[in-house]
Parts: sequence; C-alpha cells; structure tokens
Amino acid sequence: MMLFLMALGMLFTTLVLLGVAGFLVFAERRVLGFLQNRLGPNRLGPLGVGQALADALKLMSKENFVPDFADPVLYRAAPVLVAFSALASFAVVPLDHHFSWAGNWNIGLLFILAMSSLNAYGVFLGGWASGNKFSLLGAVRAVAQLVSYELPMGLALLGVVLLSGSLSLNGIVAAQNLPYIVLQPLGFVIFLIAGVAETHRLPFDLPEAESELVAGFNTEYGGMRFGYFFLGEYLGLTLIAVLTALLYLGGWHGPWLPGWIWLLIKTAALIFVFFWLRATLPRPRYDQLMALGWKVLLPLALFNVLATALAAALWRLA
Amino acid sequence: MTIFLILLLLLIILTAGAALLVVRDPMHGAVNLGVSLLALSILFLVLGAPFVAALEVMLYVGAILVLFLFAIMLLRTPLTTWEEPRWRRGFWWPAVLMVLLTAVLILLFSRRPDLMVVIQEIGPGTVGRALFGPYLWLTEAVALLLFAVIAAVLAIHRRDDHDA
Repeated sequence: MMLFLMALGMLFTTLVLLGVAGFLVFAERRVLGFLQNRLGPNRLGPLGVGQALADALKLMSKENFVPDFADPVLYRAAPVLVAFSALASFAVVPLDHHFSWAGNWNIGLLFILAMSSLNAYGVFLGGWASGNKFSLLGAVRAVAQLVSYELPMGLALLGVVLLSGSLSLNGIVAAQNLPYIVLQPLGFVIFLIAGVAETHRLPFDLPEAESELVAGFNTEYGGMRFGYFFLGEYLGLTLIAVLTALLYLGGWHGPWLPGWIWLLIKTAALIFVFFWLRATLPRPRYDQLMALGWKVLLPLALFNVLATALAAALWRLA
Repeated sequence: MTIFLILLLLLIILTAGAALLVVRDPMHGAVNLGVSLLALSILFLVLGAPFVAALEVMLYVGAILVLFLFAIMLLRTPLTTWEEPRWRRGFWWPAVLMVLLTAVLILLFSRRPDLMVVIQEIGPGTVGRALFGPYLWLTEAVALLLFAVIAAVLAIHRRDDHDA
C-alpha cells in the first residue's frame, strides 16, 4: 500500500513537472512576443494557453522513426536520458521545509550535479548516434561547454556550502537568515551564468545554434523524441531557477505569504529573467564562450571560494 | 537481502566491464563503461557511502568518461559496422544491464525493512573531517600533485603559443 501511494505520488509529481515544462514553452513564446513588440501565440484558448496542449498533441501524434544511418539503441536512449536526469534532480528539491521527496538527503546538492553530468550524456550520445555532421558538431560543442561550465558552477556552490555547512537543500535554506545573495553576490552571478550555459539556453545555445548547425545535436530528431529533448531543456531551466531561488534568494523565506508561494514567485521571476536574456543578448562566438568559462568565471569562482573561506574563518575567530 | 543486492550490482559491474572488452564500436564500449561506473556508484550507496557515490558519478562518469567520449567523437570512427554478428554489436548488453540496474534501484528505494541496509552510513561531514584530520598530509600531497599538473598544462600551453 505504502509503495503504491509512493508510486502514485511520483507519477503525480512527474505529471506536474511535465505540465510546468509544457506551459513554459508557451510562456516563453508569449513573453518573447511581447518583448519583441508582437503578440506571440494567442489564438487557442484564453490568452493562447491552449497552445501548450496543442504543441504536446502535435509532437505526440508525429511518426517515430529512426534514421537509417543512426545508431538505433543509443538514438532511442538519448532523449529518455535527458528527460529522466532532469526529472530525477527534482527529487531533492524541497517546496517547503517539510514538503519534498528527499530534501533532507545529506548529498542533495551533489546529487543534482551528478544528474546534470548524466544530462550531458543524453545530449552528446544523441548527437553522436544521429550519424549526422551537424549533430556531431553540436554534440562536441555541448560536451566542451558542459564540462567547462560545470567547474565554475560547482565552485560557486562551494561558497554556499561553506557558509551553510550543509549539502542538503533543506539545510541550506534553513541556514539562510540573510539570503545568500547578500553574502555571495559574486557566487550568485557565476552560478546564474553557468546555469544558463549548463542548460544551453540562449545566449549560450551554441550546441544547437540554428544559424550555424541547423538544430545541432537534435537535428535528426522528430516527434516525441524531439519532445523529450525539449522537455529536458525546459525542466533544466526550471531546475536552475528553483536552485538559484533556494540557494541564493532565501528559498521559502518571506513575509506574509506561505513559504511555497514565495518559492514559486522567486522561481517564476528567475525564469522570466532567462526569457529576457534570450530576447536581449546575441550569441557569442564559440572561442569567446570558452574564454569566458575558463579565463573569467573559473578564476573568479576560485577567488570566491578562497574569500568565503577566509571570511568564515575570521568570523569564527571574532 | 543486502547481500543479494550487492551481488547483483557486482554482476552488473563485471558484465558491463566484460562487454567493454567484447564490443567493437568504441562508443558502445564507452557506454558500457558508463553503466559499470553507475552500478559502482550505486554499490557505494548500498554500502553506506553516499558522498563517494555522488562523487563517483560526478567525477568518473561526468568528467573522466566524458574525456574518453570526446576523443572517440573526434576520431571520426564510422558508425556501426553491419557485418558483425548481431550479439557483438553491443546494442542489447547495455539495455539489459540498465534494466537490471533499474530493478536494483527500485528495490533500493522501496524502503522495505528487510531490504534496508544495516551498514552505518558515512556522510559528507565525516569524510571531510577524516580528510582534514588524520589524512591531512595525504590530502595536501594530492593537492600538490594536482597543482603540479595544472602548472605543467599551463607551461605546455605557453610553449605552443611561442611556436606559433
């Protein structure tokens, strides 16, 4: 019985997350429309909300086929891996201090980083297995980008871990009497930039840059397999936004409203910032991207860790 | 029951390792290695070392294996050679092993009392205190080694710049 209830709960969580990801696709198109002084999809349902459903139906009803030149099993497995790893990460994300699947797990943050490494596998196995030059180039770009930006991201998180003394997301939020954006402004900026790069969203969408690589690693994908990549991307976006809210903006702390509403407001605001970035910034050249990662963000992140450790030691002495 | 889980995990690790030797396509070999490393990480989890388990996925699967894959991708090997006998193409091995792995995970997270691990769990805090307590000198030695490697990479990179 217990097991059945748990399975039901997991199914429900998954469905809600998929719904959020589907809705975000619509929300992004609509917000981009307004930012670019046009309307965006507004035909289906009130304000065009039905567009998300229509897109999902379209993707699900398309033919699922494996190209002749593709590596069949890896081609099939890659999109599932992307969607799975993004969904699994949410297991350790708490909505409130007693409302999560594994928010208290003592390696929660590391689990998320591990899942993001698996996510990278989905992307580049997909690109490689497609047997297409553009896909392969996209996959190579994705690997290099993800490896380069995982480093500053992990180091930025180290600052938060040093201050809170915990690797569980519950513990980190509980330790924030003052939101860590005040104590870790540099870490916040590094984490946000690395987060955009990790989800390879514009302006860092070089793995799928449509003006250079057709569609990059998912050129050969169609139907629901493409849908999985899409879901993975938007789930990753949501995950980065929720993580930023939890780690740097005080999570569910806030006056008057219940905690989970505060968390949702903060997350939604961050997601809007991601949309805004997409509408504002042009895509950098690939060497500029690598240079930013290794020559700017990494040294800054190292400096941040050192400074945090020194400040924490001095604080303890005083 | 824990013994059963551990044996199953060991079987997966060994089979994936053996498949690595049999499979012709280097990319399939790398995927097999990935499955083996993932199973190893779950074994750490079962044995009560969640910190090491997470690091195993982050560092070995997420960084070292990625470098292998990077090299394989840039070698431009042709995709699967179709003349090979079917069982050697290596498509099914990882799939079957992953199914087994999923079964183990389900058993692991079902939290049935007879499946619960009785081994004492070592959290990240304990690992950290050990590393910076009794093993401080070893940790520092490894840090020095890594620093030397970084310096070497920078030095090699500089010399290339001069040649160009």
